[in-house]
Amino acid sequence: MKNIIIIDDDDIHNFILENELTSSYQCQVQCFTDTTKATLYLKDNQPDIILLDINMRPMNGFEFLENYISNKLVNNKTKIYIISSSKHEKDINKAKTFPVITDYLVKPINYSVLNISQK
Amino acid sequence: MDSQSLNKKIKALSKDLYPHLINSMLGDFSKTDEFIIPEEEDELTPIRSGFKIIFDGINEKINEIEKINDLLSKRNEEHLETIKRLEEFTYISSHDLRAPVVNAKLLVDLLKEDKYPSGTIIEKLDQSINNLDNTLNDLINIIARTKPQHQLVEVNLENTFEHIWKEASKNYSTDHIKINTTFEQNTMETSKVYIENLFYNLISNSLKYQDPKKKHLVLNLKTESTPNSIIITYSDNGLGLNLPDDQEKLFGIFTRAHDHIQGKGIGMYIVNQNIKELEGSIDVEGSLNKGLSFTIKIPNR
Repeated sequence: MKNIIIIDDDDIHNFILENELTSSYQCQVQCFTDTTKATLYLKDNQPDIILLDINMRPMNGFEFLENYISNKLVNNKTKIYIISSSKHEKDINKAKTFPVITDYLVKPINYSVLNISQK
Repeated sequence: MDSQSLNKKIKALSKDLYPHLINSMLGDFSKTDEFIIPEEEDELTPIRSGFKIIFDGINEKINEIEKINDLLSKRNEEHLETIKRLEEFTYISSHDLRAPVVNAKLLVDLLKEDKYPSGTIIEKLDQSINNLDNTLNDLINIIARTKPQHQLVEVNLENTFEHIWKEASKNYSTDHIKINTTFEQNTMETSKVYIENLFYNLISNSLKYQDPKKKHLVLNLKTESTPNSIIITYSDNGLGLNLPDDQEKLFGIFTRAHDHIQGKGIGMYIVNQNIKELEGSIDVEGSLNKGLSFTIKIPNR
């Protein structure tokens, strides 16, 4: 059973992802639409996977990551994936400057990349 | 005339000509003083006149070229601005347009699989399509505004502000609001639509981002004129912003500086574009929980 947290201000996509991951895969999922609440949660918890959106307000995904790094929350267990509907080069290149990011996934995301077992 | 004095005059003439010749070769002709012919005529006067015609001709051409150069660099700036706007567009379309489409596709897949109650999914589908519709409408609005459409008319600032205030505040309770206005300059030759849009966005932002902890919402508006421009200052005591960090979000496209209140994030973007089009400027000062103060300068026509 893998623990996954989703940080995305898109409620509809969160609904789809949470439903798919919990019904077809062996996962526990928690969604955050607010990066501040997500940071608070991550101070006490180390999930297996963080799925992080970029285009959020007021703090975007990259700003969240900078915070995450400066709060010394980086650990060996948690893998971070960007999930974005943007295929824009600017975002993809920016993501490459963060070594803590495992992969950049464009929505709709391909679940097989996440290495989680099916039910 | 003897050859010696002629020689002297030729020497003097070449000394006069020298800087003009050098500068014209360097293309810096406009830097030199005008080539002046002494009033007293002598043997070399026709030669001097000949040179003067040449130098004046070159000077005139250089001035023309400089004018064309200025025009070109102005055009170039306009093009760079357009390119920047187009880049913003591609960025928005690659995200804001794509997101609801991806969601709609995924929801249709879920409907086909018949795994979830269709009512919930159709509701979300409806939301996604609405999101897409709104974003498209915003984009169409912005594209419509990329071409200058303003007509200059005489605008009465006091009447316009009162009219817009009624319009913008109709869905708010206003008993706790104090408005101080000073119209030192009451009319200006400008675009009515742009001034209305400016007032509308300033007022509706003040109403939206009120500080619930304060007893009164206070709005101050002052208009004044200087020899070159009309200055409009507007301030409130609302939630304010974290400046200058949030300045980009305030004037950016599809960005909002406050997360908890709905907004499309295009109002102040369009205001900023309008003011730029009128060759004016808009500046903002303030801080979190203190309120904001805007200074708008528009050149006098």
